[in-house]
Amino acid sequence: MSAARRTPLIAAIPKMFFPFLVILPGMIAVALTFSDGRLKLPAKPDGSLDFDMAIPVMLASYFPSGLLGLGLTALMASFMSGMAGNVTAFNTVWTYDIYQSYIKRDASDSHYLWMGRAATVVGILLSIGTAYLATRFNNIMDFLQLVFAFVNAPLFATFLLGMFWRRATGHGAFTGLLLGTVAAAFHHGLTLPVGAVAGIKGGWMTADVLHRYPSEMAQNFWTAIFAWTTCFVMTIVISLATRRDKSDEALTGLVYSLTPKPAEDPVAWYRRPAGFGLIVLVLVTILNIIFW
Amino acid sequence: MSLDIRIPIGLLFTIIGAILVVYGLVSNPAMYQAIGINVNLWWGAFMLLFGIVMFVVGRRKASQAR
Repeated sequence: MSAARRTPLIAAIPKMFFPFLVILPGMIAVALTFSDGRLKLPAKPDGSLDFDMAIPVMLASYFPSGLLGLGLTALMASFMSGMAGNVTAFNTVWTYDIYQSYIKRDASDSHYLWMGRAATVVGILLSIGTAYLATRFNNIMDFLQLVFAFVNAPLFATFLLGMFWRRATGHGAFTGLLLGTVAAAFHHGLTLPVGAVAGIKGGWMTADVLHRYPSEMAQNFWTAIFAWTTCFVMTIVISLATRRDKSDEALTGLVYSLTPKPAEDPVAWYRRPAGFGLIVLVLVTILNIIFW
Repeated sequence: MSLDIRIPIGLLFTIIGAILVVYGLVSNPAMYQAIGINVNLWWGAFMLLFGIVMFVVGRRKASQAR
């Protein structure tokens, strides 16, 4: 049990150094481009440097044949593993949690297997389409945060209330989640980052937008804040207005206050989840202070 | 089915590392002018070492379990 609770904390340690992996190659590429011109970053049509090409350009100009093959293989392998993981999650959720639970129950295993394969094909087609949408953004992070603002931000409020508030009802959660996503859509549709045209980046609801944000990221964060707040408030309001349909016994193991706390394993303090989490937290704080 | 993940990882790194070391030794040194060091040789040696350590540790754990 203690090992299972430590797993996300252990995974947090490499994640702390993720910014180094993301930012450092780009900084090296910029430094090499501007110092003595040994490296040439390709320019975008508008004249600015194309930072998305930093890694491929550095691979091509510094790796000799031999290591170049390994580098390209590693790049492809990481793309493929990320894609495979997400497509697998997609077909599992669709086939198992949606199709089998709500659309067609009690079908044969071979039918579900076929549906899983079809969902894989659809998932890959969807990801190809998403790739075309993503090319319209300056960088992948802006696009990722936009998706997160729509999907993850309201979901976070739902999970939070579901886990820590026993009075939350199913109707409240569903309606709150729906309204949270709608709020995100409204905010996205009514605002626009400076210098962007209406469309995928927002502003698709009115001709003249209510507010212009200095950057895509600012708009994304405000979208997320609106979505989360709407979902949080509406879930509480609707839960209080609807009747409770689950007893405390039915929620045992789901809501924190109704779940028995697991006993701590008798191990050293730094191997317990709380101690380990504290170490991770301190390290994150130190890193944030260093790179303010 | 109790294959220690370190064994396939070790084998993979050992094979790729060995290929890179051999290629680094036989290839034309002029190839490495842009970067100044024989990266094929050194990175290959590192991968070879990492692969062997993984493989040996994985094997030792497997034989202990038996």
